[in-house]
Amino acid sequence: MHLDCAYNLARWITRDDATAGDAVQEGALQAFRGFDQMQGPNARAWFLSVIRNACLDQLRKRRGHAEESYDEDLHGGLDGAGRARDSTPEDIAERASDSRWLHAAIEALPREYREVIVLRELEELSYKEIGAIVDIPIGTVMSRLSRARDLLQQRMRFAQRRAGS
Amino acid sequence: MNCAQAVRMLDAWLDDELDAVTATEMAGHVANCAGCAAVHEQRVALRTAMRAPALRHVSPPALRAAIRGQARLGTLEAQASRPRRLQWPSLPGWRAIVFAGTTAVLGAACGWWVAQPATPDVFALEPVADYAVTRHVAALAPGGAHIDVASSDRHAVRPWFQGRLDFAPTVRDLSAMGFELIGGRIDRMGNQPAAAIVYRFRGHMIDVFSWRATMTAVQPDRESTIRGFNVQTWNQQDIDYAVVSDMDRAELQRFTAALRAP
Repeated sequence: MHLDCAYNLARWITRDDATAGDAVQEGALQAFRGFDQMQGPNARAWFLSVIRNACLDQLRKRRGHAEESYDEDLHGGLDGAGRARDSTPEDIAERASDSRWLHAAIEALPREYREVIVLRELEELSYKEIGAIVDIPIGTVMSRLSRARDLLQQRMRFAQRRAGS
Repeated sequence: MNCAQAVRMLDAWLDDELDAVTATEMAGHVANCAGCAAVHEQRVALRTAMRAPALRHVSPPALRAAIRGQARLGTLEAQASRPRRLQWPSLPGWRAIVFAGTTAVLGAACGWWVAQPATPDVFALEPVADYAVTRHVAALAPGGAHIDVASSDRHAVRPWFQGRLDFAPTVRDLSAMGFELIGGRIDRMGNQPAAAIVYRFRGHMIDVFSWRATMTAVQPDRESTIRGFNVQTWNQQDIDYAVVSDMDRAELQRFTAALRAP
């Protein structure tokens, strides 16, 4: 049930295949124990909130002994999306035309913004559902989404300008 | 509405989260304000880019299999832990005999309890094929199979399910092999809504049931014969399938192979 949504969210939150896989397995196990809640109209939102918590647990566990590489990874993502340090104009043009630059730009977003934009645009959930999954008020969902989109648009303009020049 | 208000509500409008009155005001403002229209256009462009399928991460098959195994194990553990909770410490002397008697009664009761399906019928592995046969027989009315959408054109049958089910069932044109597409209907598997796609082969009706797989049980690749009907079940992606027909086993295998071909 909803395994694809779960993995998609987990992979975007953790930005790593192995961590996402562990989180989904852990989350599915917890979800299975609370099986009664898995029925009903809000089953997907409930399941995704379990998965999200499992992701945060996994990240906390791993960050304990990999703090530096985690930060480096974050900055690497920013470079890939924005400054494009070692790319030729052709590379940049290609990047702007497909979704790779967007992929990198989403990965470079802070997690708070990344999770709401993924839930909204990729999973097409409502503000109410997103609020329940991330455990924040609807007003916060709205402001985080706006901020996430502003940041992504900055990158989009940048990529287009570089591609055009 | 002024531009400052419009920009503040732009995202909620885009996300269809505004009430009808405010949404109408927004539409009116954006139609008459080039600045806000440009901002809106950028948001729409970003949305279009973000909905690219390439941005979705697809779960690796190994993970899928691991979770299915885990879920099955979970069922066994849950069943095994029930009688264990009711075990008593051993006691010396005559009291042990009394307890032995009690335990025997309890054990029998637990055995009966464990034998009951823990979850609704569709979750247990065996009854699915049986259930599919029941649904198949129920649909075979004297005048012909019950059909909601009758068409031999798969481009007419498949879209019919849009908005009726939360997945698109597989519909194939196998007429070159002699399997004639008759149509489809909404059916069910236990408490799950299912699509039933109906084909005919030399007078034999074929029902292809598909429904969203539950996490607790996956349909194994299995062939069985129930009350004279041949049944084949399998799972593909998130969807479980069951094919039922009274035609030859060899023909059913030929049909299933064609249906499952990539």
